[in-house]
Amino acid sequence: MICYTGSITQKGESDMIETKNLTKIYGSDENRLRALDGVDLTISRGEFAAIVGPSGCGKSTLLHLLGGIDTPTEGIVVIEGVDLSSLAPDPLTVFRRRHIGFVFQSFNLLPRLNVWENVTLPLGLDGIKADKYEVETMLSTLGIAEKRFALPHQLSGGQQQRVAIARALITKPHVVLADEPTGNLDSKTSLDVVLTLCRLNEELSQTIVMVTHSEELAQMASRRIRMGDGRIVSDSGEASK
Amino acid sequence: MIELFKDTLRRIKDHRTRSVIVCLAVILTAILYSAVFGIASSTLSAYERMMQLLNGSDYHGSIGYAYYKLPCEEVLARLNRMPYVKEADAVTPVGTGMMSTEENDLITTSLRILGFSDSRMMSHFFLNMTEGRFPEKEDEVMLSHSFFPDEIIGSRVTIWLMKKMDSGAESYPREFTVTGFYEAEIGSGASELAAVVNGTSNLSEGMMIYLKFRNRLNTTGKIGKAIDSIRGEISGDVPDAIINTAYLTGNLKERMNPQTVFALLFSVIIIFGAASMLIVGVYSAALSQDIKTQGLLWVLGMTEKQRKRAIWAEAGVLLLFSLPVGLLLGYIIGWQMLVPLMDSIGTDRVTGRFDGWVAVFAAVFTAAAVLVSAVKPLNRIRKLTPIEAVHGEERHENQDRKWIRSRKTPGVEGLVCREIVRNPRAHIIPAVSVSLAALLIALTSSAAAVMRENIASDMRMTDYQLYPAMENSSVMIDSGAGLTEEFCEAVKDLDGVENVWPVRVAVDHIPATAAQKALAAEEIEYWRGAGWDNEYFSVMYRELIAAANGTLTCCVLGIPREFFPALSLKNDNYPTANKIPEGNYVIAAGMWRELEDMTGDYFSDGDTLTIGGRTFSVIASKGWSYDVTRRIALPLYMYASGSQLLILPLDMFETLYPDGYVNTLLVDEPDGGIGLLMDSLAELCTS
Ligand SMILES: Nc1ncnc2c1ncn2[C@@H]1O[C@H](COP(=O)(O)OP(=O)(O)O)[C@@H](O)[C@H]1O
Ligand SMILES: [Mg+2]
Repeated sequence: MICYTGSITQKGESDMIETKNLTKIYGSDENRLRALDGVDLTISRGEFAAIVGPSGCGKSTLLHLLGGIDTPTEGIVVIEGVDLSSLAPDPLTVFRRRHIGFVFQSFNLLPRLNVWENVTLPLGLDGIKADKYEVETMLSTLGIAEKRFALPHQLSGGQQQRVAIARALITKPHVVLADEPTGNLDSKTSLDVVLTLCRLNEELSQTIVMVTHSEELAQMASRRIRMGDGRIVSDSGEASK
Repeated sequence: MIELFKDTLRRIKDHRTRSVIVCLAVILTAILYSAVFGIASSTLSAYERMMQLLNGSDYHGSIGYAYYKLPCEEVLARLNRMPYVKEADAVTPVGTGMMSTEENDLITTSLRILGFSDSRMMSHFFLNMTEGRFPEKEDEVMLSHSFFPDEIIGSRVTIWLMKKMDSGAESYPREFTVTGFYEAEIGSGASELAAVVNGTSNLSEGMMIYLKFRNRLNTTGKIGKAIDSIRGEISGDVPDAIINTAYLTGNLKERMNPQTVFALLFSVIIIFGAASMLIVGVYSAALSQDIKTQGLLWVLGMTEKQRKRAIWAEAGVLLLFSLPVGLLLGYIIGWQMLVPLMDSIGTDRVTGRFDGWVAVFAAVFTAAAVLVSAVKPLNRIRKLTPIEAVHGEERHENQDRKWIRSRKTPGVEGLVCREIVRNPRAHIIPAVSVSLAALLIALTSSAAAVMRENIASDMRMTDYQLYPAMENSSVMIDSGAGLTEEFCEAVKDLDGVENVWPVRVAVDHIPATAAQKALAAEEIEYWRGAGWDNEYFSVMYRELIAAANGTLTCCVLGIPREFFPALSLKNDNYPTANKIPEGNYVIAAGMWRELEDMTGDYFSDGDTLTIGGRTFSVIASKGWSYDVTRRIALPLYMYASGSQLLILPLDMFETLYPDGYVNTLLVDEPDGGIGLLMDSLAELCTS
């Protein structure tokens, strides 16, 4: 059993992620750039939201703000009822490792750690010894159990991304943020990875926010948010309300 | 804990280059600190040694003359029982005596005879036994070999001893058998200590107790307590406490060149800065290579605290490996540097010791420099942008800057210039490191020069102090005729001799004031009661009578102003009386300490004195005469007489006493030290 020390969302509170007037401005004067422009977004518990939009429209910026690895110029991000701007750097980092899992386009595995070690790293940072059974289950769910002792460069792109997903999920975060997780993968593998995310979303009812270029993959999500120029242009979730 | 250690070892292996550079930095820093602290500590310990020699012993202090109700052994036992007393020993001084031998019935010199309670005491007084054995019986004596070259073990000598009486003192002859010879490490020891007599307690009722404590802290307080513990057992005056100034930091501070202190502090800081820069540089470079990993770990939830701990653990382990190496090398190199340095100054007698604290200080400062600077670059992670953190891309230092409207095609030089001008921060560390390194080199050499100069001047002073210019050389000191012009010239030409300072001497008779006459009369009374009006003391007695009748016999010295610092004169009114103020000043120094102590001075500050029709202001002598006479050999009869010592700057002396003769040559120390000088002098004298 993994000892989970994060705060558990109270029942009935369905908003997992909430942003208000989220604005991010890079630079100043001439090269001032409004990467996010007053984004109001609410994502409920258990939702699988896909964010699509042209390159440079602020998708990654939004995801970084949601995950607390960047700070907004204006507006707030509330995750599970906690206003991220209210946390000091170290508590924010701790909050992130307990509540949020990240998956990136480039898989970002530590090259000198093997699969098992990469996957269990977030637990280690929390001072928790990984439960062997649980890790094995996670690895087999993702189809990388045989590769448990392999080093990242000995894996294919799809396998690496699966390791990254396993790492994002090992702490059982309530929120998984994936920034173009399939960007470096061929279409068949991409489909595989997104299907995996879908399954996890159903089985573990984790809230997933995935940025993607691909309309096709976005269709697999329960909600599609389209962005343009730092704003939300359309939102299937909003429309269905 | 073990996990952390294992992780750390792994990190160290993963970052081999960084680890090696950090280790090298640690080693280098430890070496530098060892060298700097080593130089400082050995300078200090050389200084301490020198001061011990000057003080005459390495005891922490002594309790002066007193008359005890208890026997010597019991007083010593009582003191030895005190918790902080390491050693309490007694010396029974037997006044000033004179000696004659079997073949030669002439007075050899005035002597001070010391009775030691224990043979162990000899080393505390820097006396080494060279022949024979320590006296065991009351009529046995040890002599200084250099002072009594003609005596042999078993010969009988007659020593005139003084016995204190209620009414004064009395002298009487006594026969001793020579049991052995010793060598004195201090130049003056040879003439001052004529004999080591065992069991002299019955020769004199006075006793001098020497104390060695377990440490040097609060010497004054401890001596006070020691006195308190025996106060009940003494009669008469409360004993004087004499503190060995070798152990007083206050004295050291006063004597220490502020330049040296400054150089030392400065080099400590510079080394700290240079080492820090190096290590900050290493870790910064490592970090920018490593930024992707560090950023990722941060995204995954590694807190700053954890990161610091990891870096500290790494630095700690590296320290563990490299610090001992650095200290060892520091010891070797520092010491190898020091020993030749010391030797080149010719301080074979006074060499500093390598102190264990040096290693401790060097280790602490090195560790601090490493630990402080290793985590410094981590601050950058706090300022990471997500792009850097997630994608490991180069950070745009200029992201907040305005656009640069340039259409020039950059060449190689242009590229370099733009790199530096547009991103100056990235070049701060290398730039500062380079300048610090340059500064360090400059500083080390100048600090070495300053210290060398400092040590050299201290040592030069010591040589003069310990070896009052050629005191024992009959060729050098001719009590009548002085040194010849040719001889002075020849000395100047000796190998390595840089400067020769002549000390000129003249004898003058000046009219005594009423107060001086009265003082002299009082003393005559006193010493007559003490039996001093016999033949052995006749010279001095005659002078006293002359003074009482209105003529003060003065021995006038002309000393070059440049040499005054070496006299280290002191006086409450002239704390820097190292220099005679410009103008008509004369230093008046009574010849006999004992007289001064008991009866007061002939002269006091502010008196005016007319010499050769010129009026001089007196800087009075309290306690100076002893120093002066130790540094400058006076004609023997001056020693024996009660004449006053007047010191004039050489220029004034020469106009007032054109007939004064050169009595002493003060020689700037040649490179090989005093030993070499002595050799060349001996050669000169025989040729
Ligand atoms: N650290 C940064 N400094 C300056 N501009 C940035 C920074 N990060 C992103 N941007 C700019 O913000 C805009 C949005 O970027 P991003 O969110 O990465 O877009 P995408 O939708 O392609 O993920 C882009 O125009 C990008 O150039
Ligand atoms: Mg993006």
